[in-house]
Amino acid sequence: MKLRSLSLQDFRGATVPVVIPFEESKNLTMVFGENGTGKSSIVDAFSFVCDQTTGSLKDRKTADETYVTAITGNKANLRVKLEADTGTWEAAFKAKAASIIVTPDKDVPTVRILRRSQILRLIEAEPSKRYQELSNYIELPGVAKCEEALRKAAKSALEDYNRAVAERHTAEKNINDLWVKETSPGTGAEDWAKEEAAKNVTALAVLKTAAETLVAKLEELERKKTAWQSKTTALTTATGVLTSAETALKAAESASEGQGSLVELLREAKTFVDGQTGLANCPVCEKPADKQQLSGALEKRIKAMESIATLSKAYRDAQKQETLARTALNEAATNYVKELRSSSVAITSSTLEPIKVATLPTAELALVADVAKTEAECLAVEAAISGEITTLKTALDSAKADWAKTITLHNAITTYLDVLLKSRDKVVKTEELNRRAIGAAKVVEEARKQFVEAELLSIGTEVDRLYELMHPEEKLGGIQLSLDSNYKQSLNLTAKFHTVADITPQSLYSESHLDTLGFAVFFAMAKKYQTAGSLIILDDVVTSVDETHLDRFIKLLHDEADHFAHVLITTHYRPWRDRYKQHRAPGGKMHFIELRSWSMETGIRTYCAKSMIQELREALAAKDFNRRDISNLAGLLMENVLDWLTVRYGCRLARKLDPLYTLKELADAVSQKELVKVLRVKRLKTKDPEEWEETLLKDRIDEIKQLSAVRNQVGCHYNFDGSLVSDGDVEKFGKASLGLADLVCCPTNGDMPDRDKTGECWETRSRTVKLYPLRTPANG
Amino acid sequence: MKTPDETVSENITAALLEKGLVTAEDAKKLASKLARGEVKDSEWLTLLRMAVPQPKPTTKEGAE
Repeated sequence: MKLRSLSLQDFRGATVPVVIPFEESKNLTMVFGENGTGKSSIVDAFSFVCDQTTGSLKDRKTADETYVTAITGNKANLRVKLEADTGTWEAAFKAKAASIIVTPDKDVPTVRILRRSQILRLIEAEPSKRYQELSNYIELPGVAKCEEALRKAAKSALEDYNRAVAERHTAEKNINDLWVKETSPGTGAEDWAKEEAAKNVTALAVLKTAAETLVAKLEELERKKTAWQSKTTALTTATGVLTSAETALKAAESASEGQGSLVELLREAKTFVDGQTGLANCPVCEKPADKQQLSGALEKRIKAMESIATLSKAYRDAQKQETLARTALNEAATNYVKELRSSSVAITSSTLEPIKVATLPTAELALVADVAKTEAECLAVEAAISGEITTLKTALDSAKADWAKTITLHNAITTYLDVLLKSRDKVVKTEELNRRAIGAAKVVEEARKQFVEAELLSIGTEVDRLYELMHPEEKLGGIQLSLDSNYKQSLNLTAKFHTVADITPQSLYSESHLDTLGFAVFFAMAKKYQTAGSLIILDDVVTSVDETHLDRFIKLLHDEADHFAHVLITTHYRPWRDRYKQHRAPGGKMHFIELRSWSMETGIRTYCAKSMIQELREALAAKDFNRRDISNLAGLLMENVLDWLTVRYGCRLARKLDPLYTLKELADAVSQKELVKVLRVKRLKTKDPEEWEETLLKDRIDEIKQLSAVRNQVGCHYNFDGSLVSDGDVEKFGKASLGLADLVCCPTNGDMPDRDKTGECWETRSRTVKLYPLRTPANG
Repeated sequence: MKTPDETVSENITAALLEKGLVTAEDAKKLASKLARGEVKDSEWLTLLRMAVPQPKPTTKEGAE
């Protein structure tokens, strides 16, 4: 994957939309900027798209993540777009939510961001926290999730097993209790229970049901008898009432001399008189009479005879009640006799044991069972039957209870035995399942730990290798990462220090050595777990290292960069950036982006930095001839190249307290005759067939020496002599400088030959430029 | 190229199979599900139950 651009809108420092272009041909990018110019915003933009997080804001516990939106921006308008040759991805906040969405959400590039704060945490943290720092690399999210589920399953299996054991225990206890209650027959509770359970209680159930049916019938017979007896009593009472009423009426009639019927006649007469108008004479005797007086006389007579009327009504009522009681008694008798007949049949046809052994009134039972017999005949013998029936019912109840008890006990034994056998089976199965779950959990845990240990071991080896590259022959290294077996997810980090092995590096290593150690750990991790589209970002990981270590660090970075799709470096450390600019490192392989100072109005501002050769070349080619710039740039470039040559060959220079040498001094030092007569460059002209072009540097250096005054006279200081220098000399100085630099530097990568691969010469990384000799020839 | 999850899942499946903790049939799909983190507790129990050897049917004397 090759990066093309990164666009930021309303994101962090991008108060104004900004596009960061990447050179597709280079897989290394350096973003250089002083503090507060927007480096972290660019790094966080990668986190936003690739990890859907707010990056460094998320890592800082006290940071407010809402400021991922530019301070002048709008959350809804926030956009980060990453464009590569394999696709384009745009990230934004989901509407009215804090979650980040990426479109499309497939094949989003993987990014590993290494921040200086992580390095410090890794080195200084306790083993458990250290594991957390690296967990993103060495954790197995899929397996870990399943392992957690397996532990849950094992716990559940154990609970099932414990439950089954408890069920078995309860069933055993229940059976034993029954056995003891039954006076512990046989050899043991379980054998007894099995024997009891094997018994067939179906016949007993049939007998019990038959007894229940017969008892119910006898109870119904008793109810019918009670009803009959009640109706008999009621008739007796009604008959008594009738007799009393009749006697009282007769006595009253007798006392009124048989004028009982006169009352009705007088009532009718009064009704007649009250209905007449203008009545002057009595209708019976036709004598003159007053209607009022006549009605009053009739009323008086009627009242005198009213007690007879009441008695007469009572007699009539008693007659009616007697008739009703008699009818009811007849009905009850019929019902009783009917039940008596059917009960007699049921009793005589029953085979139940209590009936068999009872002394039954067989003659009376036969009589009532005979339908030819009248009710009266039946009732005449019912007393003999009902007397025996009470005894018979008691015997049946007792038998029924015995059978029910036997059946209940049998059912209980069967149930408990069933539970016992099933729980035993369950115990066996759950015990096995529990054993397997524990075994499986152990397998998963061991596999995971083995993997992590192996990973740590292999990473440790790589860390050690990287560290040795940065600190050769310093008697450090021996880096080992291992899990602490006493704690879950705890990571130990040990190293050697001279003759002592297995030390904690924090105890003896210097701060810069700890920095590079942390870097080596993360870099090895990122390298191991990189994928085809992996980006790695080194966010300000180097702060202050000496020149030697910086060169080693740069060398390591270039050697390892091809393991990743792209390496992005952000730094505010100017010496690092200058190593490239000054051709001390292969700047041709690096895309430079420099950031200018940030402001609310301008946002993040970028521009492409140029190497010294590029700057001089462009100055010479410019339409407007700038004498000062050309002299200055050429002088700086030559000082740089000649300084590098004097160091490379250990050229003699006068000692100074502050080792700053002029261009002339440097050129003279390189021009010592043993060296300059053999100092030459071979450059590859064609690859196939391989053809080299060799150039002695003596003439070039001599030309620089001759023109070196131009650098100060025109390029650096105000003086009269500078005005006397012609444009031709300035251009000549510039072109001579450019020519020498072009000869020495790699046309592809821009670095100077600093690698001894053959023991014969110095080579550039591309091996297309070779510098001879390897060492300054001995004097004489 | 296999992910770490895939590699370890394959190792786990092979070890479970060797120890008779899963059936050969279940093992076929287990590795990929493990790698994706898709084996839940209930499924583990099912897998482990399936692997419990069923009691062999008793054969009558002389029967083949």
